[in-house]
Amino acid sequence: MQLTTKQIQEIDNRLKRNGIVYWDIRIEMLDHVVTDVENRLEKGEKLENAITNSFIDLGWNGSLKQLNREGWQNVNEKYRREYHKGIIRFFKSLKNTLLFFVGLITLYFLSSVLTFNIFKKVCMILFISPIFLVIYLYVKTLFKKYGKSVNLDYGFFYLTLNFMILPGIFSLFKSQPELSQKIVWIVVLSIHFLSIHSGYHLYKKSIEKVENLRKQLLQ
Amino acid sequence: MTIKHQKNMGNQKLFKGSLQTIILKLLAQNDKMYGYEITQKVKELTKGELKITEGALYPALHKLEADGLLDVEVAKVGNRLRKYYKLTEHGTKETANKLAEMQDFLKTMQHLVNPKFSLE
Repeated sequence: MQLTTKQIQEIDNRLKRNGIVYWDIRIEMLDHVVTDVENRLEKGEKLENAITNSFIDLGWNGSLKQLNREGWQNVNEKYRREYHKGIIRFFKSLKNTLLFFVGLITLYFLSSVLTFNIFKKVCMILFISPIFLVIYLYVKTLFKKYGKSVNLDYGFFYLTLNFMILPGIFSLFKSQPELSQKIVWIVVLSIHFLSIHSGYHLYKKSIEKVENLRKQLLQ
Repeated sequence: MTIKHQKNMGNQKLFKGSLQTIILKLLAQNDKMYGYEITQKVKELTKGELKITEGALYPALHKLEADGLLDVEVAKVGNRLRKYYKLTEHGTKETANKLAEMQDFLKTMQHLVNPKFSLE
């Protein structure tokens, strides 16, 4: 006997209440419980008992926060790996490599012709400029109402990671001579754009993934 | 606590460390499988002696996926989505390695538990 959408929704709500906050982590747990309940119904158990017994036998009757944590930790590991791979993949394209070195040479050129203060301002603008893309993507995703998704959370986390980490490096070199600061700006900006490139592709991938899951659900 | 129950608990402890290898082996034999199917298959193959707890199965599957050994395919079944796991190319190679490691380990254990005396 197949469970109805409403009955499945009730089981999903119970998993959510027990601590599995991300719907894309709940998907397979939900399938597990529903399959088990359906098997129990075929053996003659009543629906209420089948659901209760299933949760008890699976050990999912209490708090599932630990499982939720393990779920996002594994997703994080997967995204972190993809993020680093994305940076390496960038250099596999000759066009990208050339673009990178042209950018690097341009920065070097600017550092030698501009005064330190102007160069610093140009670098700051370059550093901040991708934030507009980040805001645009975030708002766009918000309007699509994807719900609490672990894939989207980590996609977005790796897109914005630089903005959280790299400013710390600038403050470390604040008291250093101008030449050292110029080198730091050039190196950090290069890393910044490489990471933004990888983070952007990762975020797009996470949106695609969630979009596909949602499409399948609504089919 | 009955002797059978104690034996089962012991088996479960030994079994925990081999969970990833068992999952990989099952997936090598079946093109793709989903979580519930894996638990039932293990139960069936071991005639109920071993039971994969769901709390251990999913973290293990996710870990294997994060390590690039498994690929995921999602399909709609009934009124819900189902995640199928299958081996990646790297996963297929790793399965052979893990099985060889396990066989070596079992041989060593066999020597320890049941040593054969020789005059050499």
